[in-house]
Amino acid sequence: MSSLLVLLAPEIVLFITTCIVMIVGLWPKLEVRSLAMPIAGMGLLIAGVLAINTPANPESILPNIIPYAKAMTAGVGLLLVLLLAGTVDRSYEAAVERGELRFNPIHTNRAEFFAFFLFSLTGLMLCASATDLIWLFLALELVSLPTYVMATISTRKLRSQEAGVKYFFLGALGAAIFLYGFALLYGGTGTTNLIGIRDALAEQAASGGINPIAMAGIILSLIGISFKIAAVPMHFYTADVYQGAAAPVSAMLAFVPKTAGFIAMMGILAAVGWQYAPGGETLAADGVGTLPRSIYVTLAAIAVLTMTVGNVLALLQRSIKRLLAYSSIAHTGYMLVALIAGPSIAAEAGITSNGLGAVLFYLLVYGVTNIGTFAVVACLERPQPDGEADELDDLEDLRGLCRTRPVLGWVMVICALGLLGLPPLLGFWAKFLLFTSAISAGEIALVVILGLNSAIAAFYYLKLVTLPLLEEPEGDAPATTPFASRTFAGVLSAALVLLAIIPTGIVDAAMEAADRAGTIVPANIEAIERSITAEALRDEPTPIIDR
Amino acid sequence: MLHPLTTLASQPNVALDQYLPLAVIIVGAVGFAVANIVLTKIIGPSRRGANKGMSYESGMNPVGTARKRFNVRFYLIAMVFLVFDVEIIFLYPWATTFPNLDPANPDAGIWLFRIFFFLFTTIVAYVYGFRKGVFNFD
Amino acid sequence: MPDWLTAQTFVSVHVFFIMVHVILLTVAYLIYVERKAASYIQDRVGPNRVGFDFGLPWLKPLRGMLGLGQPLADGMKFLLKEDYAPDRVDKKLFTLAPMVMIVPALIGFAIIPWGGTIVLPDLDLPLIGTMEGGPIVIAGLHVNVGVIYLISVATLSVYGVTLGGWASNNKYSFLGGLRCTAQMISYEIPLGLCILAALLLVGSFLPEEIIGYQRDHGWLIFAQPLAAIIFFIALLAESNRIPFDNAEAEQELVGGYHTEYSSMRFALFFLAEYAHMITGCAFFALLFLGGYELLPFVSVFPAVAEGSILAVLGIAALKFAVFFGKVLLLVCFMILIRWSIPRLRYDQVMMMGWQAVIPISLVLVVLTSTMVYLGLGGVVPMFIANAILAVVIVALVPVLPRTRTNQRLPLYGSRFCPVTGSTVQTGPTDPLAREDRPLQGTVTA
Repeated sequence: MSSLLVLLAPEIVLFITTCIVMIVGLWPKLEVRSLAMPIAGMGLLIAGVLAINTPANPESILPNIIPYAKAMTAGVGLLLVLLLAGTVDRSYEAAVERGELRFNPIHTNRAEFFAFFLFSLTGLMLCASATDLIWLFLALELVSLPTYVMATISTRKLRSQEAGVKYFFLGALGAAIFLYGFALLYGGTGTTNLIGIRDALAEQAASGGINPIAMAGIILSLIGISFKIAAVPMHFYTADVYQGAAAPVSAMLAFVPKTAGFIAMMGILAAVGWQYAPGGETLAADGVGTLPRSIYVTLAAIAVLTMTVGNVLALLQRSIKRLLAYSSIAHTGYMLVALIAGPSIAAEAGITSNGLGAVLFYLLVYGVTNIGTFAVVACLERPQPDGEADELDDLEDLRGLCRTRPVLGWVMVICALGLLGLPPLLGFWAKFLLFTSAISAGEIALVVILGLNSAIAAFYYLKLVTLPLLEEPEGDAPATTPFASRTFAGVLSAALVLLAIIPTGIVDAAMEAADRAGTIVPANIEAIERSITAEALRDEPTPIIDR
Repeated sequence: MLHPLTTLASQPNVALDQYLPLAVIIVGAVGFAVANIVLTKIIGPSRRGANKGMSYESGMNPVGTARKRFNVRFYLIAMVFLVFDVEIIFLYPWATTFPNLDPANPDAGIWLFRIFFFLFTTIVAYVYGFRKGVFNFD
Repeated sequence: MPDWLTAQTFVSVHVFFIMVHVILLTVAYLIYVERKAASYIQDRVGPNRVGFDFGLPWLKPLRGMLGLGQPLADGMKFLLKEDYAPDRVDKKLFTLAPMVMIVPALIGFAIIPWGGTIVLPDLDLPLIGTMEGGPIVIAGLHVNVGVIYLISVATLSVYGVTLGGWASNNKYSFLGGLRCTAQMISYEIPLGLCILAALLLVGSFLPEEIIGYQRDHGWLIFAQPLAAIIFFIALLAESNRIPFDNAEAEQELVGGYHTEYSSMRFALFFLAEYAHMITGCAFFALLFLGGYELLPFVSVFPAVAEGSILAVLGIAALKFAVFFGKVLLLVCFMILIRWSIPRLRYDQVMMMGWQAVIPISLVLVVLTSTMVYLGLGGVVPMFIANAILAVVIVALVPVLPRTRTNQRLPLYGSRFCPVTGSTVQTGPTDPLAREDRPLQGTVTA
């Protein structure tokens, strides 16, 4: 019990911080009320430090993921907290400060906003420590439910409410689908424990193929979770929600549910393993394996469609937030390719052949870079008579930004290039790992599609680069938001994208996090051995899978 | 001293038989209610009329229907009630096992701590609701 | 004798049907008692005409009788009146609501062990043969969930109120139903928490064990006085009695959720309210007043009655008499409260519930569990802890922020807000109203 408490220490810290933020945000004094954001950042910092020192959890299907995933959550969460400052209650607080209104807690949203943000991050961390399907489901819902509310209350405009309602209903649909998948998976394997599922599936595969009910459960779960990562069958909400919510919240939506979804997918796929022959039976030796055929086809189709749809639709957008939303869909597709490639099973696996590590690293890089682009949108605004400023969301508004607002302009340029994956930048290394892991897994066709899509993506990312950098500004400089921390968040993420030339330390951490995922443990090896003995009788004895 | 019936609860085969009187009781109670209503329908007079059929609004002709939107505060009360009621229901099993636990048992402290953490979350919810003004009825 | 028919089942069903009749008769006479009490408090005479003569000259000696025939006449009147439903009501729900209300009221008290435990000897019964004896609880129902049954059944009646208010399609009914629902669910929380505070000392759900604990350790009202007080307040609120009868606040809502009801359907609501009072008081007696035990710290009756059939039934009857006597005293106390305390306003009721009663009972649960953990669950330490808590609460009251909802608005032209130029020369008659001290002297500009 106490060891579980050690594993969950970051979550507990975050939860207690949430409770504090919830109460502090409703305080009558403005000075105390403003502490909500620093306290949230403080809690994230402590949680991150605790997370780095978390031991591996042998009972988890992804035993080494906890320190990396939680530290990544806390780190990106810190950037997001900087960005989220001042999103809600702006005109209300201003009116209170001018003395026009008396402070009434029922009219303020600050407490809920930061508390829900922390709740969502707590859910994300819980996803990483999940050992059980029920736990995983609750964690995924804890990630999503607060984000519905955050999208709704992020601005006082009608479009935010529309976005929130749309997001909520489609989210409920997605949750229903993957819950149904989980139920079938439980029915097909007889356990909700992920390790138990892995053993049961390995046994079924060794004795003539995976139970179709379990297979249907896995596929339904993957399709349901594809809502969280904004992949194709469930991607429809993305653009509308990202556009409707305030830019800081959109930046959060692009990172938190996506990461949670990918971690959940990794957990479920690790329970299946990447060690199957095309027929679905367990692979004999250390040959190049893959997922069972039906899962492979499903995922590959989702990946190809997601990349293509995201990139092609992004080309047509005029709104920056919609463009970034479709680019977010495309990035999901890229990461799915590495997810299909899976961890390297070969004995002498290098860092370039671990697909799961590549996904984990890409998530971090994408999160950081994306915050930079959204920070620019969040910083530019058009003042409104009611005090709730409107964001500048049109591509034309970026024209000549490097001259009028050099800091923001350069942040946009660097981050767009980072998203594109230009060689010296952080984004390049992330994409490089995706490519190498997919190639080493033999997914040449997918790699080619990935390359083509990256080329398409260059069109619209270069728009984000050339408009601020090369064009002449029209008229005056656009107004900026009074919240310095947003600019700071943008600058910070641009600096990270620019300066971390070869981030070997983080890559190593990501690879270590993906270590031992999806391999079949010795406890279960007998079942595998039994299945391969038949083959061994025909051929010469083959070495058993490397332990 | 343990009561001779203490063991009753722990006998699974007795558990369902215990509820047999409940079935009889419910049938009796429902029978009482139905019989009364049917009886008065039979015995009592029955006359109808346009004015008689109106809803009673202190003698005025009723305006509109009564199924209108009402104060959102009632929803808030219902939600907060749910939080507390679920909490209390979870506490009952604990309340009957905790006193029987030996205080010297090292687990007793953990038991208490867990329940206090559970209560703590509710208290945070309560304080939050209080600050939000859910419990002001003016 | 068939297998399923155990002695407990046989006795339970009989006890239940006897108790239903006892309680319905009690309810009828409670209404009489209530009217009498009200009339004496208000210096009237009350019902004094209706005896048992039914207008027949040869029954003349039975005329009058202090109005003791009044409940019978009332019952007959309910049955003979027209059972009318206005045009706009939802007919099905309109009929269902009183039934939903009366059924929990009738089955709720089944769990109360009126007569304690007896050891029944083997009996030869006509028609069903030999019944095996053994320890039997004189209760309508003896189940392993114990008081949880009572809580869950008693709270079902909130559905009756909601349905009645909704189905009537009348604004008064609707508002009354809403208010009543909100009030009932609000006071369910302190009710549950106080039961929890008591159960934390007992450590069992079973009514017989709760009484057994009190036999050994003294009544729980001494160990948990605060819980007992809060429990009684919550009972008043749950049964919609004054000072909490906002559901049918006559001046505001005519009759509340039963405005549109007449005849027997109304009578069922009425019956249910009184049956709930009796059930609630029985629950209170069971939890805090030692059930059928006569004296707080001394056991008068044997825990388990053994011996011949007449002896055990005699002891059970005595226990029943003690138990029911306590219940009647509590009900009479409720009636006295009704006719001496004014009704609280709706917002006052709710604020008292959510801002005072619930936090106190939460603290009480925390306090009790800590005391139990420290091994201080006895009567004396618990009483001291309760007293300390009460002192702390009283000391905290002036420190807490005041809500401003109860400010008085002075009426223009009254002595509190006089017209300019008039002379005011009055002092406050009520020493508690010092803050309302009106202006004195001649008012200028």
